[in-house]
Amino acid sequence: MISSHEVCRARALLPGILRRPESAARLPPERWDLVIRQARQAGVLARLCFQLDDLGLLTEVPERPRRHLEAARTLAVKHARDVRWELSCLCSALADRELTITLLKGAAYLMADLPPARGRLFSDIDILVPRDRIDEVEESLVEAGWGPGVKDAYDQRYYRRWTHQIPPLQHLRRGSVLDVHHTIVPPTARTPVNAATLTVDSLPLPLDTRLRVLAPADMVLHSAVHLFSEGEFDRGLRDLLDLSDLLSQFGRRAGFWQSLDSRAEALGLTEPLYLTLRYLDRLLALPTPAPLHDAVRRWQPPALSRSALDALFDRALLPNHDSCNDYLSATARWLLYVRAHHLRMPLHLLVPHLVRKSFRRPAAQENDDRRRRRAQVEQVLRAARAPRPGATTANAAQMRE
Amino acid sequence: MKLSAWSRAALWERLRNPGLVLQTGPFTSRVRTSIPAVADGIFLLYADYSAPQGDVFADFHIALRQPPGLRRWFRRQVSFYFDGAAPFKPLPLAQALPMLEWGLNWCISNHAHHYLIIHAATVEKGGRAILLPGPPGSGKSTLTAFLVYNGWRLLSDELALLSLEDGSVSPLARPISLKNKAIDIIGRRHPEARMSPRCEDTAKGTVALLRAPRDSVARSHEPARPAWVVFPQYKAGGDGRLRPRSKAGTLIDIGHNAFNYSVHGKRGFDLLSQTIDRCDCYDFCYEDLDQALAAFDGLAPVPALAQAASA
Amino acid sequence: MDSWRCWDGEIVVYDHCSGNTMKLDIIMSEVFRFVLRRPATEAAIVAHLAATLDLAADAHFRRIADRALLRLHQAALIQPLSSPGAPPSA
Repeated sequence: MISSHEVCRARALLPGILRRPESAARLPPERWDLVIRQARQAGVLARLCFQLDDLGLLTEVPERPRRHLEAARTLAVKHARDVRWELSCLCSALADRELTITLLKGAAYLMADLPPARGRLFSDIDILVPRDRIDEVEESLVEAGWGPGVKDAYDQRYYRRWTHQIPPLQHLRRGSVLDVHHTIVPPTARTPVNAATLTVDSLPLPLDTRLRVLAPADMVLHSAVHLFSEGEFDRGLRDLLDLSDLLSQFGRRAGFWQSLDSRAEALGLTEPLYLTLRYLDRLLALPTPAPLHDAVRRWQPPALSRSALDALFDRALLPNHDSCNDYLSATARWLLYVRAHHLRMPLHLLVPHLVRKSFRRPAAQENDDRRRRRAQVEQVLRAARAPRPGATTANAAQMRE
Repeated sequence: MKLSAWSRAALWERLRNPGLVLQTGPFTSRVRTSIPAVADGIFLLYADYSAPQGDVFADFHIALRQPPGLRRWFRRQVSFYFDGAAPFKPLPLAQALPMLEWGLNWCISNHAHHYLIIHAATVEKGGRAILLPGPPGSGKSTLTAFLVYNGWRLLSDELALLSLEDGSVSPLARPISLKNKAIDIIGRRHPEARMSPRCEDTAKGTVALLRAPRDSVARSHEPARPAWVVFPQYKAGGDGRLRPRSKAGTLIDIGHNAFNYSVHGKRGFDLLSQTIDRCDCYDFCYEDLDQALAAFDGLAPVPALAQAASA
Repeated sequence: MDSWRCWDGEIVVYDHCSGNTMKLDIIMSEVFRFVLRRPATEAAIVAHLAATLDLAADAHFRRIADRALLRLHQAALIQPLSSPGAPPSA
């Protein structure tokens, strides 16, 4: 039987290490046992490796846990390599179309050389294209070897009707997954976001002007919307750390806080930004920057709502691991999943949708299944690849977790 | 402390809670289960292995449990859990012990990226190792079992762990998975070798697990230097001759047979190139085990000094 | 520069961009090694291949050579130099 004191210590362990990596140097091996497992579950094991190495502390980690940190870093480096290659293939596939491709999330962080890219395990590549060109984009991608990542007709309809992207595409040979968005929030959201507003202010990548990334304030807001409005928390802590990195990086620029405040108001995304600031403080002890204090007071929901949200997010944002979960954690994640869908679907459609999902799999499981399928695709391709006349190829780069 | 020092009852208690910690080569696994067949299997197959006590760092936390729901009682199943999550679909309960082995292999091949991991058997003599890559059906497990009960040391029947630092291969020395006819063949030739009960109707047919030789387990911290890469193929009419094969082709074929070659990128390419530089590479077609043993013994003859001493 | 190794005239190459590893056939190996020494025109490559392999440089042979060049280019192992009519380089 684990005491509630032990549970509290265990839940605080990983956030504490991520806040102050230097504290890891004093950990005994049995605590490392828990840190490695929590960090792996949260998707931050490689990030932790980089952090410790930057501080010159990696060599002080005992050998056994250090091997896991280094193994995770090796995998993250491979992921980054794969994403660069994948983007190169994507640009080739869309070269004839002459359109603006805006990178989102992980791909954007990597190509813009931003801190959240370091130690990241990438799953899908997310891009934003104009809505009126999405059909031709899909057509070019299919010609270049991408196929439907979801085959179920219901899921296909669900994506096209209720979300801000077409159904995920999976490359038939490489196994990589591409999410093509036409905006950053579902079209049925209470405050829909006009993607043209985002692309007008987007910035070209210095080394490859075919690709663009969102302006800093938009990048933060998109990350916040993704974390707090899409109902998936298997990488919740990692996503929160991304936001912490972005705010820390961009906050040094003159005028950033003002632009973030006014942009959140203009796009109707004050709630996700408020939640970001609140949970950065609650989980990672990162206080809200002074220039946003007034804004936070404006955006703050009533006390009762705050308590309810805390009860949910305090649990959902921790790693989904036995050492961090309590008897309400699964319920909290489920309620937030329902909330996310409620934000995009009317109630009379939400209920049958949830019933259907509950007899199949929740979104988090689907991500896991998607990752497993990718791994299986990679394995099958590896086993079936026969020498071609002229050249034989081993282990074509594919993204894998 | 070796597992053989434990009583069956103490082992059972420990497996239920807080889990038994087992050292197998470079990896420590904390194993939990309430399935009697798994406990019996561990008691039989892992008797010579070290079982550290107390709070230790475990590389893998695994559990074998019956999944919740109807399948606890009706057409009973077993699930493998890695740190609380189930990476595979459940199997029939009768396959719980092989599932432990497959699960442990999965843990290593998915997480131990401080090695280049090849789907190959590895045996050693005189500090030099033979890597035996091969897909299922090539007969490598049967061959490995026979070799290790006839003078060769077992490093692994399934996973060759190549060190990225120095190119050596690290032992696992875990039980060998025998399939179908191989179970009888090895059982007849080596009645002294302990085996688990058979599991029928697995995806690989009938499976039984052969306990690793005591000496191999005792030396499971000693790496070896790869000296030969041999692609075995068991088939009627096989002449038992080692035929040199293309090194360039061998690199590609090993890449195909590796679990994490693409993870390591250039480093993996350099390590494999170096390994192949240092190894003689062969195809090997054989139709009986004694023929194979003779061929491999010919690769690593007993040194003259040792021969004179034994004369 | 990509990494490559040669054993008994057979070349395997690691491509840094894609992470792919390839074994080149004899024609691709010859082209690669020739261009590695110095950039060459397509005509010079075909002539060298024909001489080395002791084959007539007829239309069929040229098609094979073209295919080898294309596959090496697709694998990012050779590329045309920037000026028009310039020879490929490794």
